[in-house]
Amino acid sequence: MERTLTQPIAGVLPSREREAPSEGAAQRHTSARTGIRAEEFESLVREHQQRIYRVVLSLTRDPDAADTLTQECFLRAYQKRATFRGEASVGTWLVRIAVNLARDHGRSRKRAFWARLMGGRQRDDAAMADAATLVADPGASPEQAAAAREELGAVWRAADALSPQQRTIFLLRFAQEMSLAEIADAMELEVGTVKAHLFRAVATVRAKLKGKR
Amino acid sequence: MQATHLSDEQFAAALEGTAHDVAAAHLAQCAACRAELERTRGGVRQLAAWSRGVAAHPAGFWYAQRQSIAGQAAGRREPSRLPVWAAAMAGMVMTALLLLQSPWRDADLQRGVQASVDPDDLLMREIQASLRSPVPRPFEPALLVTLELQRAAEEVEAQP
Repeated sequence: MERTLTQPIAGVLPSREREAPSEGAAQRHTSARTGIRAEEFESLVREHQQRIYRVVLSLTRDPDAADTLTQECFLRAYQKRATFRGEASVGTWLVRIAVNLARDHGRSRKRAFWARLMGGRQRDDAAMADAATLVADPGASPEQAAAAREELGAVWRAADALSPQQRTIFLLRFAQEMSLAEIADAMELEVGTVKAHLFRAVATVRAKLKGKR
Repeated sequence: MQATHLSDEQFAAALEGTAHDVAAAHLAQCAACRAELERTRGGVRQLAAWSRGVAAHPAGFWYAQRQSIAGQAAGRREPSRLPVWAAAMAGMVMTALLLLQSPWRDADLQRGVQASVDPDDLLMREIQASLRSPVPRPFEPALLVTLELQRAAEEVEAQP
């Protein structure tokens, strides 16, 4: 039987919430009101899970961590749904939670130690190898695929040299193609601050790529 | 060939697709800057492509993820909606109730109960307890003397 976010949770929700009528789809998730009802959560997960997964994947470069942190992101959002003020869109709110989770994940030195010990480098290399096939056009020659792989690896290595905040902004802008305003909302920064960080990040990446070539 | 190439600011703007006229004019003339920009642009485009490629899971993956989220959400405790002051007040009330049920309080209560017992009732209970014992209370001193004499006699016999 399919498990939904509404049904199993219904037992632990106040009846007021269970019986509340659902709003129209157009107003869902983005209306400027306080809180998100439990009934809305399943469709919210369905709508945003792939984007949140990609955001976390870009920031962690680890598909397993992306899966775990995506789940954690929605669980935190579920627990905090009553405090959602509607000042930003639900999507931005979720990205904000995801960015914080990815940052905390990256800060964990213990995890980094075990990841290295358990072959994180090999996993990175494997991901890079996969990237060649994922990035290159289906009709690309082996040389083109290798060039794509090399370019991607170079950008990743350059991004690794950035400060955590610059790196996050750089990856949200270029790997997730988020606008500066969206990034500013998600990171609770001014657009000008995001622009300044992005400029410094691009300058560093440019210097790294130039130094490599 | 241009003497000066794009500054970092111009390069970042060009990468963003918001190059000013001066930078655009330079790019039109400078093959080196154009090549550098294209290489960098290619690299960041591939970041996005990689992210989309790795995230291109089958529907079953997303379904399983939703199931897992639903299962975990059901197992997690709902956050308390009580304000802090209400929680503190509830704690104080609980503490007061516990103090009322404390052993000291019980001892005080017992003393109060004993003080309110009828003395005639107490006398009747003592008489009943005395009747139930193997030796009636008036003969207890005689029993004690007998026991002492027996013990003294045993000690004398035990001496060599």
